[in-house]
Amino acid sequence: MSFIIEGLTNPSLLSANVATTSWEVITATSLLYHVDGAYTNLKPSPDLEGIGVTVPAVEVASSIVFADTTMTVIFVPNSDLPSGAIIQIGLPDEFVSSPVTESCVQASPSSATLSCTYSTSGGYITSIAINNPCTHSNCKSTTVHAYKIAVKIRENTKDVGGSFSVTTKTSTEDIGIGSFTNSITILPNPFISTSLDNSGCNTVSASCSLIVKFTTVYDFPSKTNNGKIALTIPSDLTVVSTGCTATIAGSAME
Amino acid sequence: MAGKEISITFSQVTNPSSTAPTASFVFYSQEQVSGTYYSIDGIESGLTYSVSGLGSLSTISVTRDSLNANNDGLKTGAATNFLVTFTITNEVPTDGVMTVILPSESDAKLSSSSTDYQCAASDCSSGASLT
Repeated sequence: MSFIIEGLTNPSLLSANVATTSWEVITATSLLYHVDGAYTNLKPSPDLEGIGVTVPAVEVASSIVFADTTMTVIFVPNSDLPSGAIIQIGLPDEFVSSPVTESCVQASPSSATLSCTYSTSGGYITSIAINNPCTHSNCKSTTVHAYKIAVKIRENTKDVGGSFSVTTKTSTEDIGIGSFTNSITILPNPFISTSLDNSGCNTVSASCSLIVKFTTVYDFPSKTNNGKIALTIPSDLTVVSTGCTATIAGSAME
Repeated sequence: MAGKEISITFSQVTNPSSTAPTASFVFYSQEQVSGTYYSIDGIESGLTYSVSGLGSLSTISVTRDSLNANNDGLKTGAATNFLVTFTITNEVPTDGVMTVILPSESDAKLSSSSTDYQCAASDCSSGASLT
């Protein structure tokens, strides 16, 4: 025997997949006296799938090495979020570390500062959980959410790739998930006090010594610890002698 | 090594062949991670190099053409030709130009229809330059 029940609506939370209460199916007489019955461990299959969260953009205000900056995450949940919901932002591996001051601000639909929890591993942020995003505004399925989260850009320009993820959830169960591919290019931090000195050798095509000077901002390793200075000379200058000397703070560089 | 001045001296570099600024120097401080170097500090634009001193033109002379036995070309108010001769120190590019600036005291009136030169800004009066 089979029949179709039309017009029902799925539960709004994935927790229904692990519900402790069972569907019940019972046959009965016309006077509703039970005949057959199944009322334990009965649940629909296949399982509910999470609603796809639309994530159109993840940006950082500055992508410079070591910059304390703001990461903006924009998404549409595509499902109503309940009171007490949590937004969990997943980050690409080794992309950012904890800033001087952790903070999460809901830029849309409200402009409230929300409590949030940073999770880290190996010195890098792995995820950020933003609590109670619906406290200051409605959380309808079509509401555009934007969050500004304080982060610190990683320590060098390595392209970590990966993806950002946005998971909407209750305190215990996921509601929906979406992702955004990381295409942010990390830029080197500018040197300070860069200069070129030709010791007055200022004539076209003359051969002379040329001194390149600059001041570092952040630590970089010594040669024995796999650090180096990489320098590209413009092609319209000709290096006659490949010999060069380098000093750091007036002392010969390793 | 943060906040330290680094100085790199190239013992012998040949200056650009003209007064045009070079492209920017590009340099980084880097560290190696898993066999690949990644940058920490760096500069990628804006640090150009240029020189302003010109190479010399030697044995340079300007000779007024007498034109004929009556030396008409030497007479005041008369049309004449000038021969400019010099030896260059540096090579002129194939698409290069030469510019002659006539002193303003000269009353020379240049022909604007000449195919041998062009007057700068279409000004062929005295004191103008020609290329």
